[in-house]
Amino acid sequence: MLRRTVLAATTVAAALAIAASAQASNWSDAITASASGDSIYSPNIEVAPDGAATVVWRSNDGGPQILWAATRPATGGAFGTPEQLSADGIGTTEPRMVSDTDGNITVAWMNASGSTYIKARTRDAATGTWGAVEEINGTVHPANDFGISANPDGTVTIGWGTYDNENLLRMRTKSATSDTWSASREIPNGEDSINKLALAFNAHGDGVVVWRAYPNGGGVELRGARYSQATDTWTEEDAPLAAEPDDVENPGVAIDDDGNAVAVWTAGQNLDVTSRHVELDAATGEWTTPANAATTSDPSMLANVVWNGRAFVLAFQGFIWDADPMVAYASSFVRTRTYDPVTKAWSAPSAPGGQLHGGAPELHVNADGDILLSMIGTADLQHPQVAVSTYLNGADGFTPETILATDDFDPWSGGVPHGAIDAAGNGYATFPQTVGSEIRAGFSFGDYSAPVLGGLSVPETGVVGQDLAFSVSPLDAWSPLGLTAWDYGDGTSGTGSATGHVYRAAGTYTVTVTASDALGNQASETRTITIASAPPANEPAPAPQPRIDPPKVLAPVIEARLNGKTVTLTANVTLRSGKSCSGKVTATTKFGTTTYRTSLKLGKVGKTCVGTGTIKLKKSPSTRTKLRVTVSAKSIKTRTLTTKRA
Amino acid sequence: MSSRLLLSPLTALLLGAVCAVPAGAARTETVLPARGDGTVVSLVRLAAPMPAGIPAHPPECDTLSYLRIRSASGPVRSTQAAAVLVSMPGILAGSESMEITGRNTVRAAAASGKKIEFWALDRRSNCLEDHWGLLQARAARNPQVAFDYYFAGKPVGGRTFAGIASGARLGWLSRVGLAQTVRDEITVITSELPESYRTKRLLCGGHSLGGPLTGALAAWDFDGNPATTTDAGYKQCAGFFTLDTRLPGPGDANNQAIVSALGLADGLAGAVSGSPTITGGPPFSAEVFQIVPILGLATELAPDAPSALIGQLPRNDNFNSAMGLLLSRDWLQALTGTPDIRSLRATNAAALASVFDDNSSPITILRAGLGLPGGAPVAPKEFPVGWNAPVTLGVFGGSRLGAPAAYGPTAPSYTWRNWRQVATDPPLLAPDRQPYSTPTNEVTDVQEFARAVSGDDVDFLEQYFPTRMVTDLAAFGFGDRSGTLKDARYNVGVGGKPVLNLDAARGLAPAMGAAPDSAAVRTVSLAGFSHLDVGTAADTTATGQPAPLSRELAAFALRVAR
Repeated sequence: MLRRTVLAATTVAAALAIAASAQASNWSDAITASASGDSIYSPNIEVAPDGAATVVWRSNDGGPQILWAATRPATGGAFGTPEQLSADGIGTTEPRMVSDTDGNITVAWMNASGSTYIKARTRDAATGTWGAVEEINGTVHPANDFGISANPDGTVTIGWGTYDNENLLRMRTKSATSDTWSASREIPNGEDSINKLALAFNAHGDGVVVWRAYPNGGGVELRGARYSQATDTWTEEDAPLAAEPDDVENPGVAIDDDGNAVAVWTAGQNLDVTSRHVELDAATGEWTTPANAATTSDPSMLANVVWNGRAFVLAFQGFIWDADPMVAYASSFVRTRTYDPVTKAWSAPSAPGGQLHGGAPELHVNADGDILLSMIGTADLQHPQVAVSTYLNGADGFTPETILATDDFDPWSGGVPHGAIDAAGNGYATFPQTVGSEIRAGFSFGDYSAPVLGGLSVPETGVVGQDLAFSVSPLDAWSPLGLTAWDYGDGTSGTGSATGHVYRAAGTYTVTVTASDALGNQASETRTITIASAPPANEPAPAPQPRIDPPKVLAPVIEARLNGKTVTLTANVTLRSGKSCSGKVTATTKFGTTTYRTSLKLGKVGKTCVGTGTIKLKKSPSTRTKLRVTVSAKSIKTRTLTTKRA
Repeated sequence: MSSRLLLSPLTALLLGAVCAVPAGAARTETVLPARGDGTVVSLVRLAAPMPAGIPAHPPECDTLSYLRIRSASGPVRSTQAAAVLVSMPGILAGSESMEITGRNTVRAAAASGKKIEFWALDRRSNCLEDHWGLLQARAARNPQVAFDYYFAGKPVGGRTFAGIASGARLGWLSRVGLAQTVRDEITVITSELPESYRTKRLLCGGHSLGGPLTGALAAWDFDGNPATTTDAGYKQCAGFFTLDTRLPGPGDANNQAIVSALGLADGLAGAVSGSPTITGGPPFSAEVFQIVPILGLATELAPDAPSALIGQLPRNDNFNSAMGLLLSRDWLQALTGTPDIRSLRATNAAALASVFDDNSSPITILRAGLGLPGGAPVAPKEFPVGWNAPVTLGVFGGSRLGAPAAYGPTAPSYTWRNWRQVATDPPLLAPDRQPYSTPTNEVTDVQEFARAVSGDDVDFLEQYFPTRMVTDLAAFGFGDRSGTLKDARYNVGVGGKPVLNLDAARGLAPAMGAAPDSAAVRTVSLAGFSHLDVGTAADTTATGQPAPLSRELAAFALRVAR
């Protein structure tokens, strides 16, 4: 008996381990976007809504700071051959990238030396080719700096500060339906010298731009202007959003669909830097007075903000100035806050998790409001890690991951990680990756999307006793497929991409097919089937449909459903013939400050070993809450999944 | 005129790293890669064997070299130039430390239709420097190649770095003092320019220590015969100029007689004979100097790229003390080495500028106005003297200095705002809300500076500065004319020739006192300039105005050579 138990537990554990070892994290192992033999720095990334990822980087091979790019198709696999974006012999500044709604990627940069002219190239998503270099601000009046924005309607906007007998703010746009850039347009900006700016637009085409204004002889201010799509006019704010001594660095801005906006910047200098923010109330047209994002007297900087459809989400880097030089002068951390434009309330700063120390936070948001936060993390201020946190819309907060740890990641030599997120919520990151003596453009992706249910075939009708065929072709470009499960609506279920079922009673049933990937990401679809009574005995029975046996699946599918206070856990493992089904599998989750634990009860259903269990929470989470459930068994790797709503 | 041999740039540069002047050639001239500014810069090497009796030395040290800078539209022959300015570098410096000013001066003259030349001299000790790794790194466009060659022992292009010269390899430098140096200079100018040209169109001068050395040149009796004066140093030049320094005044014969009886020069030289160079150990050692051109090359290639060199700095006393002195925020950091400078995140330009910038370098003679840091918090630098302290001990303080405050992998990266950005950016304010610097004080383009620092088979810094030069100059200053200084005979100063003093207002010259007031001496104070700026300042100011330095120098040369 004991031997059987151990054997069964080992079988379950081994099956679980197969899935766990295949991908213990949502994030893939790092692959390289740049070519070998080419030491690079400052990689950056943008993805099309469908997940086609373009990584750009700079390299000295072949010229000073030449800009290169490579694209990985949405279907996955390796990156294509790197292509040179900038001309030989002319250095480039760090490139900035956006994707429009069609997946066309625009990369913009400036000459690193000499006169600073803005260049841009766009990769056509349909043809996979890069357009010619566009001289955004010509070659007469250099730009002080520029900002770039991809608007929800597909328009890409580049704005820049320049001097043409007077200080000017100019802007050009390229719509999603056009391959050409508009003529340069002047935005009212007073007489301020502008050398840092940020812009954002909402789904209605209304926009806001903020800039660091540096009037001759005056103090530094944050100023802004608003764009009305309805009247096609820009209107400069009468008063500065922030004034001296709020020395403005790193301005950022986001706008919601009602026209409310949040602007952020780094104020102060030396050791007194603080991340500051102001909010625009669209109803009154008034900006609030500046407030400190960190809420404490500790220094902070590098704030950025996005609108995710529900709230403004802000991330910043804070410091603790350490009096003990044996530790460091500064240990830094990353904190996030959210702002509800309806209640006009900011949440308290919270850690996006996972990393004791962090820096260089960047927020990336998709059309569904899913957010990816990329940053440098470290547990000890010595050993850096590439860290990301995902905030899938509906979750309570960020879920941390570590992509690449010390020895492979060198923020000193190559720069900081950058991230992107596609329409399905999959995350992407690029980072300087040490490979031997080279720095390459490392790349990793995080799978947060369920399989696509293609070829779903469910009979619309049938009769009692008829052997009916059901099939579906789940497709997952990111992770191995898990179990495909069928709920026939009559209290019975089955598994497999092609299966059969016999209904025992007439009626209308809802058939639900659920396909999972190895990470537990699930997709479901439902169909209705009407079953008629069996024909009289003298009528020939309907011919049986050919039955396709479900495939043998060793990878388990673990499902965690949240319903009210109850988390229902189900693990399915299709065992090879003759194997028993027993052992101990535990599941834990944390909600609030309480950690819950349960053991799954294992039992055999047909050839499937099924583990079931429930966790009762003390109180019901909000309807948008997703819990992280960790499942483990003896001698297998732990794996974690996100709950789905029952 | 000596015979001439012209080589292709690459062949000659690589040959030069092996053997200064190919056997059988008295002179080689290699045109260096074009600067694209209307000038031609070439590296001239002259065969110049040292006197018999000098201890064993490498054959390439029987060579003298200088950077010849001329107008691309001017005459090929120096003797057809309207004027030639020959400039001696300062202490611990090489010809590249004056290359930018040389080019700008040639261009300034060309703008008025006159073609002049600027010769930036190297001293003989530069022959010990191995530029192979840097040349290979430049060819590969990869500074890491140089780092691996000099600091990781990796063979590059079939060669392995022999290491920093020390011990017996340096013994001969104990004989290279003031006398050898002025004779080397006179060898260059007399072998390149006939007397008729020198006396009418040659301007002699120098930067920093190059001032006293030029004064010694003027005082020298090169044939050792007091009865003949056509060979006198002061007669070899039509005029003199200084770059943030002073020329010594006429000597006092009576004082010289008394001091010379002491044999001071030989006595001092004997006392320090065990230390042939002043760069044998911390804080500013030849080993530390080796990293500087690599920082320069990294900045030249990619100024805003993250510096891969900071984290690789060797962990030894030489680097610990140098980095600690240059970058420590306070005494505690300097003494404990914590936080480790190597954990600083900075761009290449910020890394280079942290060594030389007037807002961070604690040492006055190492400062240039390169711009301002950005990207991460700066703290007032309280080491080695208070952040706002006056000049202390002659070399520290005298500026409002900042130091990096954020270290570690998650700290923001320090970036660099080049000199012109200082005019367009808001000021970087110190805790007292006053700016660390102003556009007036930032005069050097960090990328041009980086290009000069990385060199072209010649150096910005001098790795093996002879101690004998220090002791000889001290003895010379006290009036000693004994031993090897016996030929410093003429006490007429520059013989009444015209002099232009270009003082860095924030440099050394103002502390040396006012220049003699005479019709022949003109002194210009260059507002905002630091000590190195007189050799490196850009052609325009931060606000885009024409910079005064090169225009003053060109105008002076043309006026004298008229």
